Amino acid sequence: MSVLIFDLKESGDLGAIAVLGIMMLVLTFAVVITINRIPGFGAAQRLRNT
Amino acid sequence: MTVSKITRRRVLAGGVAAGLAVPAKVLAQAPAAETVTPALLEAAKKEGRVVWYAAMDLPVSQNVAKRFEAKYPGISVRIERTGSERQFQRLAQEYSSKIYAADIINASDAAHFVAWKRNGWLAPYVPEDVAKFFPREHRDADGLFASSRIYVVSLCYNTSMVKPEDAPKGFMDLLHPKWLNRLVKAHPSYSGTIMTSTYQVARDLGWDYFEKLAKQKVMQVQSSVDPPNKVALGERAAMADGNDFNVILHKEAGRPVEIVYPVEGAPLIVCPNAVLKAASNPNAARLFQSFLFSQDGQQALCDFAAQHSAHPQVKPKPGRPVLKNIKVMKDDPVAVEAQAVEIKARYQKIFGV
Amino acid sequence: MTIALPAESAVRRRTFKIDFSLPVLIAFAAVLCVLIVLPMSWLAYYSVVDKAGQFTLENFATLVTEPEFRGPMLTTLILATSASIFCALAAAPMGWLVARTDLPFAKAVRALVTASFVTPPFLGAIAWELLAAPNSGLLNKLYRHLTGAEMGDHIFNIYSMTGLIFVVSCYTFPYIFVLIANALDRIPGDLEDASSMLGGRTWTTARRITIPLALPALLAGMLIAFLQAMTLFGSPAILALPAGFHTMTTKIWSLFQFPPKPELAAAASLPLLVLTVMLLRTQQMILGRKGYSVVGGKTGDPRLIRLGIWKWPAVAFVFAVLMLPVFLPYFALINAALSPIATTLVTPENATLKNVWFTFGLSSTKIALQNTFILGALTATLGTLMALVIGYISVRRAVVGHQALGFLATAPIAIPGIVLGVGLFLTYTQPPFVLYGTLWILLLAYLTIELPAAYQQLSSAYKAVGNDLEDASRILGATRLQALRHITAPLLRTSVIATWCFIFVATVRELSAAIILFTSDTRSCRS
Repeated sequence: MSVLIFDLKESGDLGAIAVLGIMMLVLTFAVVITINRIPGFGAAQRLRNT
Repeated sequence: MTVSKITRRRVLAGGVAAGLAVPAKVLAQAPAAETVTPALLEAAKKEGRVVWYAAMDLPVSQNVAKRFEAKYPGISVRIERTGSERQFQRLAQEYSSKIYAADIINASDAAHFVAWKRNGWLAPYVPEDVAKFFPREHRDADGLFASSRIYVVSLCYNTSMVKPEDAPKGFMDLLHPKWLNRLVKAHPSYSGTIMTSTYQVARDLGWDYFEKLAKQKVMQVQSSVDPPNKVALGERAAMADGNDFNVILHKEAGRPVEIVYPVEGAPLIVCPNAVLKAASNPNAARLFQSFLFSQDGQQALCDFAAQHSAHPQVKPKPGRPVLKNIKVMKDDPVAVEAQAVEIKARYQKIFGV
Repeated sequence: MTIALPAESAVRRRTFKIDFSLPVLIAFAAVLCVLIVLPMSWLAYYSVVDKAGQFTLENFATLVTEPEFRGPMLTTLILATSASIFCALAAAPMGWLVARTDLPFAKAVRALVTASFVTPPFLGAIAWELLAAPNSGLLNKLYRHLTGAEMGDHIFNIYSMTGLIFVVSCYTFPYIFVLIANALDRIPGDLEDASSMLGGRTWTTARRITIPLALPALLAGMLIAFLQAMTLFGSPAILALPAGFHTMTTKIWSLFQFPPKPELAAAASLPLLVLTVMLLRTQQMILGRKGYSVVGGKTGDPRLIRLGIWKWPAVAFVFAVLMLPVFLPYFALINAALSPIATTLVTPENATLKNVWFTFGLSSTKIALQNTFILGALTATLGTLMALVIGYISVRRAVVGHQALGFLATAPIAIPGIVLGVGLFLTYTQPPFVLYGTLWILLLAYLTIELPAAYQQLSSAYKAVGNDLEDASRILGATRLQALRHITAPLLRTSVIATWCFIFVATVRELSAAIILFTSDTRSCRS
């Protein structure tokens, strides 16, 4: 995806880059948040701090 | 028994092929023109897709692809777009690793077809319209490629930043101190269009011109599509090179740009298209080639992208510049091919990137 | 008798178990060698041969004598040095405020720093182009609107060395922030309590206790920031080229344009490698001498300093800093996505979804999304596993030569992604391993690139856990692997998740190796 954005950048297609970039950020945030929300993993945090 | 039968059939088939080939060779020095036969269509549908390496900017190539897909449902077109010079390197890299992903190829540096022809990478295929209508200078003598679109490199300026009387008339005007920090241009290591135009400008005006231009602190972008974008955005007041058709399209969309065809002559860009010999989807590739060079295909391409066709029956859209009214520089793919490495090195030395 | 029996049976059971530790360790060492040594050897080989394959030092001579290389080298040094200083100036106070004071919204600040960390630097650079291009940039337009200045006047010019340093700093400072904040989080309140009981006032305590304890983290962070800035490709490619100058990474990349010069590129990447190795050694020396590792696990929570009237200025400072990598660029991107012209403000009248439809209409978009996701998840999973094992080996000194493993796992940090891309390209386009043109080659590249960070995170986690518990379990008869699974792994969970996310995010934003390695088949081979 980064390569696609870079390709588009070289022909200056800023609108499409913005759309792809936002999509990329949303994907990243979604994955990071999902992983952190998995129940067992949240418990691990407590285990370490006690 | 079976063996001899096959042999006889083969001999017969060979005889027929040879019989056809002979008159074609005498007439056009090229393979016979091929129509879209039901057999080709069937085989192409079976392949179901075609991969197009295109140095055509995405909106244009996407439009061509969409029309092809509408006409031949069931065959999808995958476009791999990058600048011609990048694409040239990439194809060579892929071929040396025995990756034959590309079916058809389009470049805005016609010199690449000289090299690919020499490498024996192109498949002979002459669509009907090319044989019937295309002038000799726009089709390869051996039927390996033909000119899919024609345009020129021009100058342009932003009308809200530059008064018409201050606008440059030609390349030499850009060397005036008032253009310091106000110009944008594309790069010959990325864009085939700019590679071609750099050769023509350096040949006609001398490298001296570029050396002086570099002192104007030109903003350096990659694709020849980008300078018109930057001027339309108002990022730079004028462009030192770039596609004329993007300027026309911006103007038609109501952006504050005005095109200037340089008095010295506008570098002429001819973009061939070819079927690759090692294509994984050879039939779909041929079908696409026929579609692209058909009168309808050429007309739609010109209408959508504000470019010109070598097809004599294609009519320019009213109100748009007509190619024969533009003073152009002469193109020379063979010379570009011979000097490409030197041109790039020299350019990089002058502009620093 | 009855007491001795269980002990005896435990001993007997132990003798029947085969300890798989050693083979596993050796296998991982071998994988690491293939992953890193192979491409690096090709690179080293290419740097000392000419086009015909004859030995030569010509490549290095060219590097030193040609101004077209000396310029980028100097530029890169200036860029990396200034970026790491600016990052430290912004990140150190922020890290302290968030970790050690009663700063309001501290949680939100951490989340926003994470947001700037996951933003790909090249995307940030493009967003900053939209904001601060001298003529069309939104901020410059605003400036002209407010002051009535002439067209052509501007306060920001992103296409400049300063602009580049600024954008690189924006997306590098999270590295320092995270390290500092974590270090400060770990300093127990007891030490500070002791200091104040002995009569030290709040600021004395900070100066005498907190800062010295955080200093190694700051230095380590600055070093990582330096390395990041030095090996970054995307931002310079977007901002430096229009301005007419090269950094080392863009120069190396340009050497792969036609006609390609892999020998020169290999030679050009070696100084970066050497410099990095030297810096990493320095870092080890600093950290080694100041062995302030806080002893003991269960200590009081850090004592938060009351900011009092400084509370709101502090909040203002923190959010002003976060404007730069997060709020402003995100705003510019959303604006560009919905606007008919990228640098015109969106209004309800001119808002358009044209860009969205165009992007989704592209044949490449779906494939690119899919591959990004697959590659990210695969690399993160494999990378975390590898880092776990290698970290374990080197921290616990499990096999002879563990230092070499640790070094190998850290070495790729010195290799610009683009150079690694070339190394991998040279390695995997010829037998016996032909992987070019598949997703696997990108997987290898990403694994190699992300390994150092993953390794460092997990090995420091191992150090933090301490090996007493593990030793105890081994004394009680567990094999090394059992001890790892039942004792160490649960304690490491948080770090493992953090590392997984870290690799995933880093893979998604990776550009430099991908730009060399991808082919059209790479994008499509899953479809």
